[in-house]
Amino acid sequence: MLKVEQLSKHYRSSGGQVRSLEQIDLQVSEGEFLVVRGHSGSGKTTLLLALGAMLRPTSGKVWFQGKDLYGLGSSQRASLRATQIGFVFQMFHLVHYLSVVDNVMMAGGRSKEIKMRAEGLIESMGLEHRRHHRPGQLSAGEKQRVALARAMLMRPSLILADEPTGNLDPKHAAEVCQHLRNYRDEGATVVLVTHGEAASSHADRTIHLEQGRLLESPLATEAR
Amino acid sequence: MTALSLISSELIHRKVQALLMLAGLVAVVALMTAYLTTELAAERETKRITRDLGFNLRILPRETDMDLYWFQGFSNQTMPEGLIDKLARSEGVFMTYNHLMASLRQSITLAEGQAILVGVAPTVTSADKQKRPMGFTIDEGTVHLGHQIGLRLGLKAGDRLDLGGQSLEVAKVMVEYGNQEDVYLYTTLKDAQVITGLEGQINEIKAIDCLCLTADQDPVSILRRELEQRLPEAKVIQDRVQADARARQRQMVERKFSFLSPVLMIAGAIWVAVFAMLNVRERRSEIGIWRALGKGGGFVAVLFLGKALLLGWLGALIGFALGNALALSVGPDIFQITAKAIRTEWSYLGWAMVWTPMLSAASAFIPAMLAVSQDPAQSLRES
Repeated sequence: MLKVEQLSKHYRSSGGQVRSLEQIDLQVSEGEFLVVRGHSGSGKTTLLLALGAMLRPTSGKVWFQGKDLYGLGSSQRASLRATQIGFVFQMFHLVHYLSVVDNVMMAGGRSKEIKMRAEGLIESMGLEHRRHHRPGQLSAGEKQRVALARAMLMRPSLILADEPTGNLDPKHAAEVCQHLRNYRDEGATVVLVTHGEAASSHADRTIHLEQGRLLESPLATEAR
Repeated sequence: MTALSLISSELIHRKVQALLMLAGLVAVVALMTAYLTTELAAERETKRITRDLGFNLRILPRETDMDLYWFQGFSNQTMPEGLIDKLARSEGVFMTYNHLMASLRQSITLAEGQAILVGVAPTVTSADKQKRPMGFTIDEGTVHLGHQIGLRLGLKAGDRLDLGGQSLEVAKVMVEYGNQEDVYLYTTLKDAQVITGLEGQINEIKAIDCLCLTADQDPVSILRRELEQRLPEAKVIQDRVQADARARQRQMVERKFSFLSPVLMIAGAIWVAVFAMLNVRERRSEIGIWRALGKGGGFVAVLFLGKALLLGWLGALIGFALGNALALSVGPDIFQITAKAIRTEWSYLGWAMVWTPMLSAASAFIPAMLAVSQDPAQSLRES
């Protein structure tokens, strides 16, 4: 599903060059729930964005379903993101002026099928009573479930979740992780980056990232 | 959701920002509409005022003795009456001349005193411009007496006056002008020709020049060159003081509006651009998520430029209505002579509906391009 070869990402900043990722090699199998753990600033989000065809690496390659992501044109990468990759963020990134149902449908078109799928997801997330509410009227847990529904709308084969439980209490964090686990059980692949431990119990595998590098075993890979 | 419904939802969500942006556009369109509507009235009024300054061109028979002309006030030569039709028919004449009026002026003796008989023909104007005739209308068989002549003859309106075997009714005795017109007698051209025995003859065509050149330009040489081609049997002289006054008055009005329009448009453009930039900054995260969901730069551009276009159309409609109302309510007080001519100029609505969205979209273009080129990864990571 995903293969990362010698992936590096460096930034220039006022304080000099920042090596956000350094020669990462990683392979994620189809249907795997992978948790990437690391402290703040370890490069987790950078890795996730690079895996999601959003951030061109300084060097190295990212292969997704056999395609070199950054060998593709920007419109082809956008098309992959629209159909094959779903994103969930810690800050939810819901659009404030859209209702719950419209936020979920952002990822799709206006067809009847999409609308039915959106309604089904909203129901499965327990948000049917909130479908016409705006994000400002929702709790943090509800917002994240809307974001999850949006990420799942187009039935992507890969979901990339960036600290999806970071702003949630343990109960809601567990709920979100369970939804991701359920989605993985339907055959999708999930990569979740976090600094906490909430998601580890749902993961097939947990790897550790520190200062842009994957740590070697025994901590680097913890098979479940 | 369609782009239009997304834009509408966002406008409602950020209503204060949208209203401020709209207010700027409405102000520009309203002021432009009010200015342009009153400008038309101002132009009409200026033209009328400058026209009322009188004719500033005199077309005389070529052989006129100019010493004598200035001494006695009319040409000692005559030319055929048909020349005015020839001049009026020549191509492009009304680009240079306006309100052509033929007259025959002769000195006559009246009650042991001298007077000047002036026979005037109706003014000839361009058929397609439908200008109103200048001066007063004289009916055949009537005479208008200058103030001094009226006093000398002791006549009043309704009395009769015998002139050269013609019996004319005094239509009016004119007020005192304080110039040579006080010793004039005005009749129709035809009556004057019979009285003086100069049938079919005129000795002056009065006109207004349309050149409106500045004082340092020389309109007389242009007028003379053109007249030589059209009417070689005549020559033209210009009342320079009056012509300059006309030109300056018109140019002043035109300059005022040519200055105001760009200032208003630039101010409006800056206003819209500032709010568009603020909007892009506020929506960094939204732009990032749209891109993460696979939407391209074109989609993002449509969101921002579409918003600018929509506000432009709204601004045009509201601004036109306000500007028009302003012009109709304030205009008549400012332009009293042409007050009745101030009316809704519907063509400006069409222009506003085209130009305001274009101005708005052009102002939002740079912010929209910044939104398109924004690195979505960066904005998602920062927010």
